[in-house]
Amino acid sequence: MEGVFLIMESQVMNQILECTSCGIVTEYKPETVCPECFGPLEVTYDYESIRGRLSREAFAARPTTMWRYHELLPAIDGGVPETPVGWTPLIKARRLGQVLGMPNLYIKNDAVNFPTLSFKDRVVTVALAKAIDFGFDTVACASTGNLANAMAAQASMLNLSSVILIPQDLEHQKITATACYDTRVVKVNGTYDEVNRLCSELAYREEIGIVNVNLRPYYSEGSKTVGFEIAEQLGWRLPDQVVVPMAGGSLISKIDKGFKELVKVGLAEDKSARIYGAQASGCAPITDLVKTGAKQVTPVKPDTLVKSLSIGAPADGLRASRVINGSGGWAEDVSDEEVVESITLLAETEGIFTEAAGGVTVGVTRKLVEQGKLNRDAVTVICITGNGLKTADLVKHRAAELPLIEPKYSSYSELVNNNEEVRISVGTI
Amino acid sequence: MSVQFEFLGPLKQLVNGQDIVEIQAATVGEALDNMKDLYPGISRRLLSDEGLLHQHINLFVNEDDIRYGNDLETRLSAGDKVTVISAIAGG
Ligand SMILES: Cc1ncc(COP(=O)(O)O)c(C=O)c1O
Ligand SMILES: [Zn+2]
Repeated sequence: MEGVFLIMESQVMNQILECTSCGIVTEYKPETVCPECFGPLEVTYDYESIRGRLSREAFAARPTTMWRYHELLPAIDGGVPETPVGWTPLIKARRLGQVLGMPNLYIKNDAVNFPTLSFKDRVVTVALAKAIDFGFDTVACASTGNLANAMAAQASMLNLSSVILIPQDLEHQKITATACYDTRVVKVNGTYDEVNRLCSELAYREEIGIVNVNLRPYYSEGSKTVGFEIAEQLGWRLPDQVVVPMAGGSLISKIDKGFKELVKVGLAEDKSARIYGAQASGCAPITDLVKTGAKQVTPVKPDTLVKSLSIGAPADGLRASRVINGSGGWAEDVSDEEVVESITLLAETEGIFTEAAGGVTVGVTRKLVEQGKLNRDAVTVICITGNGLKTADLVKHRAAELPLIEPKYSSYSELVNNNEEVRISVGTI
Repeated sequence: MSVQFEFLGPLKQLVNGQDIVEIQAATVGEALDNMKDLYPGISRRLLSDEGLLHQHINLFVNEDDIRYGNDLETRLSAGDKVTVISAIAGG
C-alpha cells in the first residue's frame, strides 16, 4: 500500500475509549459496547497535552484534508490515508440568505466532498484506517446509500475486501455507483433498520470490521471534522447557529463534540453554538424526541422519499436530542414536497445541487426561521451533506417538459425571443 | 411454555457466556423477571430505572423488534426465539 499512507508527525498515542454512560476506560479495540454497562464507547483525548502543542498558526502549513486535525482524530498506527477527504467549501449564502431574510447565512458544502460527494467520506476514512490497524481484511456496513458509495470507493482504493448491505429501495444512482467499485453489494429485502440489525449480528458472528458497528467509535469521530472546518473557515470562531440533517443522530452529536473540543484545546473561543436538527416528516423520531423531551426514542417505520435519512431507530437519537436541547437549539421536520421545493430553491439561489438530505436541511431552516426559532441575524451555518446527482429523480419534473427546437436560428429565435420567457422567481418570505 | 433466548456479543456475559438459554414465560417482561434469580444483575443491566428496556439494548422476538410492538408486554409462544443484541449500531 505504498504511497497511500502518510505518517503524521506527533500523532497522539494515547488510545483510550471511554464509556459515555458509566465512564470506564479501555484501550483501543474493535468494539463499540462498554463491557460493564453496554453503553456506547467513545474516543477521548488528552486535551491538556494537545492544548500545549497546537496553535492556530500551525494549520497554515497543513494538508487541506480532514487530517489537518489529526491530533483530534483517532490515532492511526499505520499512518493516515492520503485520501483527499474533507476541507470542503464554506460559502456565504447571499441569495438564499436574501430569500430567508438571513444576512449572515453560510453553507458548508459537503455535496462536493471527495471522493464520493457526501460527508460520509469523512467517517469512512477513519474507519478503514482503523480496520487496517486492527488487522481486518474484510470490512462491511449497513447503509442508507451515501455510506455505501464512500465505503465501496475507499475500500477499493485501499485494496480491502468489502461487503455492503443496503435496503433494496435506495435510489438507483447510489446502488449503481456502489456496484461499480471493487465491492460486494448485497441488497436486502427490508428497511434500513432491519439491514442494520443484520449487520450487528454479522459483527458478532464473523470476523469482519463493520464500520458502523464494531468500528463505530472511530468511524463516528470523522464527523467532527465538519465542525472543525466550519470553525476554522469562520476564522476560528464557532457559529451562533448550525442546522444539521439527522438520520442516526451521529453527525449532529459529533459536530457539537468538535466545537467543544476546539474550545478545550484553545483553538476557538468559548462560546455556545445553538444546534438545530433536521429530519423528514416521514421519519422524524429525533425531532419528536426534541419536542416531547421523552426519555427514550420511539422508533418509527420510515415513509419518505428521503432515503438517506430513513433510520427509524436512531442509535444516537437520545444523544442528539440532548445536544440540541442542551444547546438552546431546536429541531423540525418537513414534508417530501417541501424537500423537493427546497432542493430547487438551493440550486436557484446558490448554484448548489443537493440530494434529498440537503433539501431537508434547507426546508427545515426556512421553517425554523418562520417560527422564529432561528435568529435571522445570527451567524448561521447550514450543512449540505450530499450531492443532488444521487437523487436526481426527485426533481426530474423540472426537465420533463423542456422545449425541443430544430437546429436553426429561426427556431431558436421563435422560442427564446418571441415567447415570453418563463423565469422562476424566488420571492422573499 | 418454553422459549429460547440468545444473547449476542458482549451481552453473553449476562448469562455466564451461554449461547442459548431456555426460559418459561408468557411475555418478554416475565421472561427477564424469571431470569434474574439464575443470572443476578441481568435486570439492572437490561432495564432502565423506569423499568423500560435500556436504550442501548435491542430485543427481537422471532426477528421482530419489540419496540415496534408491545415492548416488554410482547407475548411469547412455545418455540419462540428471542435475540438480545446491542443497539449501538448504524447511522
Ligand atoms: C447525506 C446525508 N446527510 C446526513 C446524514 C445523517 O447522518 P447521521 O446518521 O450521522 O445522523 C446521512 C446519513 O446517512 C446522509 O447520507
Ligand atoms: Zn459503561
